[in-house]
Amino acid sequence: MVIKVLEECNITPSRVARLREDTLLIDLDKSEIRDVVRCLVLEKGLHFATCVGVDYSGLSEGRLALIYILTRPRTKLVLRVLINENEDAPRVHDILPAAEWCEYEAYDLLGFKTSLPISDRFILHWGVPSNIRPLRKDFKHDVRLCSLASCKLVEKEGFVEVDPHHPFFYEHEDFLVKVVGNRIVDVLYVGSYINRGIEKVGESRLKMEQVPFIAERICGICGFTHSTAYCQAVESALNIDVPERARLERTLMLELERIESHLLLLALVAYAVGLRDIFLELLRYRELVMNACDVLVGNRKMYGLNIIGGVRYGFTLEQVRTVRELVEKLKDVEKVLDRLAESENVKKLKEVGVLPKDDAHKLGAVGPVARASGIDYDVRRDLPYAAYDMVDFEVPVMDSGDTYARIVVRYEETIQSIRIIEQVLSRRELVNGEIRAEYYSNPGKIGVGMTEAPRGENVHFIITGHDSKLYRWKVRAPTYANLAVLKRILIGESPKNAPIIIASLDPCLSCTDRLVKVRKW
Amino acid sequence: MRGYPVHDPEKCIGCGACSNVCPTDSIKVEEREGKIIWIHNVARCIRCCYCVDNCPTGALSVGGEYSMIANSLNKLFIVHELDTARCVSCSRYVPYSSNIVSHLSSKVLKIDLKCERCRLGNVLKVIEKVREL
Amino acid sequence: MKLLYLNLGGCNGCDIELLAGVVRVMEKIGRELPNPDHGIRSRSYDITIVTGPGTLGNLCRIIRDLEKIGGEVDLGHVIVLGSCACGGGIWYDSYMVCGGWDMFLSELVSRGFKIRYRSVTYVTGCPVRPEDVEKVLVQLLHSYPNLISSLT
Repeated sequence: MVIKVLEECNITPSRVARLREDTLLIDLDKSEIRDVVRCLVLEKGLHFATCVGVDYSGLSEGRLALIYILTRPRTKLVLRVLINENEDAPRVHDILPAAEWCEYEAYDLLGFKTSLPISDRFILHWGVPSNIRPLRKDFKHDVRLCSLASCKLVEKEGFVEVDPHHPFFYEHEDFLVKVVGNRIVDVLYVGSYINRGIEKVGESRLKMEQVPFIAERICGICGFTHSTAYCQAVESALNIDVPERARLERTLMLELERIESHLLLLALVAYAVGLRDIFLELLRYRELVMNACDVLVGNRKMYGLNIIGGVRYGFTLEQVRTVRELVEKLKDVEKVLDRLAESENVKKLKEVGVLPKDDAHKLGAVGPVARASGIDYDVRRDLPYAAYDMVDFEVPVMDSGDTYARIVVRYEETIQSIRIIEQVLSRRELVNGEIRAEYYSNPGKIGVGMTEAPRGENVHFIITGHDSKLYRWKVRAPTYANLAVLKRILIGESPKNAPIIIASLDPCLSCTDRLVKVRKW
Repeated sequence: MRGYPVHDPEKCIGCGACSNVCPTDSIKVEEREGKIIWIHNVARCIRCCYCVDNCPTGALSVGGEYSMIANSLNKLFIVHELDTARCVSCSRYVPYSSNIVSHLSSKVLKIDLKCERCRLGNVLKVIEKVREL
Repeated sequence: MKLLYLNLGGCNGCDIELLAGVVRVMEKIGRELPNPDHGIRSRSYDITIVTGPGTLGNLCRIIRDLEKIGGEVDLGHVIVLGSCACGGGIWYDSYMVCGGWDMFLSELVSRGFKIRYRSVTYVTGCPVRPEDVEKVLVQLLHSYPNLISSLT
């Protein structure tokens, strides 16, 4: 199937290397990449996941590479373009806007040679000396940029700041909007405030087996999905088969996390539209989920459960019984969510911030945002991982693409998650059997791990290195893809709706900024 | 609740496995003049308890205390001093705590704890004898 | 009462537990806490809550705030939440972070800014527990009765 699609895009089967049954690696020339991406994404409708810059000098002779990752149901395509130091960098973002941020990111952090009229810095725009390219292998991870950077910032004129969050829940990120009359005419997003240099730390100080702990701390809401995606990437690279019990445990925690994340967002939506009692009620239900996690792994957040090849703890029958009681209580949340969806304040959000299906595909939207715009794509169903092939669930899709649809999709997903959890809890294998597989590390192996985070498709890309360390680790969090639609859905709207529209994307900025960008539109 | 790890100086052999696996480097095991010093910086500890998984003697266990609140970072250190074991023949220090003898004697019948130099000395003697033959 | 809440690049874990903790505090003392500032907008605060390891981006943001305000800033009672803010957490030596509140503060001081505070409390944990947030905040409010009486 895939081979046929590739042939139609002028790639003969002999050039395709199979890394694992669902992962294909293709080495392309710089002159080909644009045509191949145009054919595969824009004509054949493959989903563009992300691109990764790699400094190959530590594994083979000194070369740079830009790697593009595309997906279609049950297949991940890894397109690798190797170039020499003095060559111009490959680029596809002029034909595919979704590639814009990841390409600029690679140019900035690896110092590709480009002839583009961009500012020198895209991510490290805090007055960092221009010779610093953090993802080069000769850069040491413990250089303190805090004392090196000049912190000179450029002031933006004519823009006002929007504050999209509950006052007690605030990551610093500038959403600046320009307003003329009563309409938003331009949007500026200034990010990179929360960039903690995670990828570099994972590649240098930490060993492969310790990285799940830092992956989990990418985000305090959806951390477990990151550590799962990372473990899956390594498991795929090193060909490790995870035992069934571990896969069920991962599924259980992933779904608990999804409910927790969705309830938090819906609570914040309720607060934003002035339904304070629903806000408090939803937070109370959310506590049930946190308690369930506390019972299972001993911590309310940061479960510390994942390890390469399986999980660290086996759940006991007693724990499962307690969680089942909590989930039984949690079921009543449906009534509260009904009240939220039925309320006039939320219904007003129909036809506000509309994202048409076409734009959603081109801008690379993922997760509930894409599904609210009619794109029927869910990693859990289309690229099954953990134990999702053992459970029965529906993927809610809506066509209107407005803020209301994005809220309702999350509501429906919460109900589906409770269904999945009940199925997992009733399985005997959850409390019996092996929890961990043994493995041996090999340098130079490529792996792609994908999960459906609460906010959408989450991609981890790894290359294994020597001494049980990673050579390259790249994280593409869902918000990274979703923020690209911001301008499309905000322009033309009334500024008083801006906070709720931004909130309906459920932007999780700590995920996104594990490395990230400032971009002038 | 998965609190910060609790260290039992009676069981610790000072091998340093915990400091090797700690993702935050919050545990350090240092050797100073006849003492092995086990230092835990609770301020930085992320409560993953991966050290507990990897402790070979069960000296570390998951604690019931999660929080530690203080007015100064200096109060957030846990420091334990252990006596270093000595070689039975030359009484130089070996890089383990004195608990290693009791830990190993539960596994093998008889143990003569010797430093590297003495062990190597034995090997050299054997080699010399072989040469003489 | 003036509240300052500095998220210096945290992962959101502590921030949400803080939210849960604050809801408990409000239930316990029966009064509303005021909405906090998220950047330094005023010259003196009663309570400052800090989360996150102190990233470069946030350092530059605070520097921008301090330059705008000028002069000495009083942060009042500082509550430092979470492993990141206390000791830098898992990224204590990353190139993009200062490595905790103390290092962050000394970076600001070395750049010539004058910052004062009355007390500092470190609450460890990853993330912090709402119980701890509640305990520390309630204790602070009780030992300074004028803080409570300024609430509605």
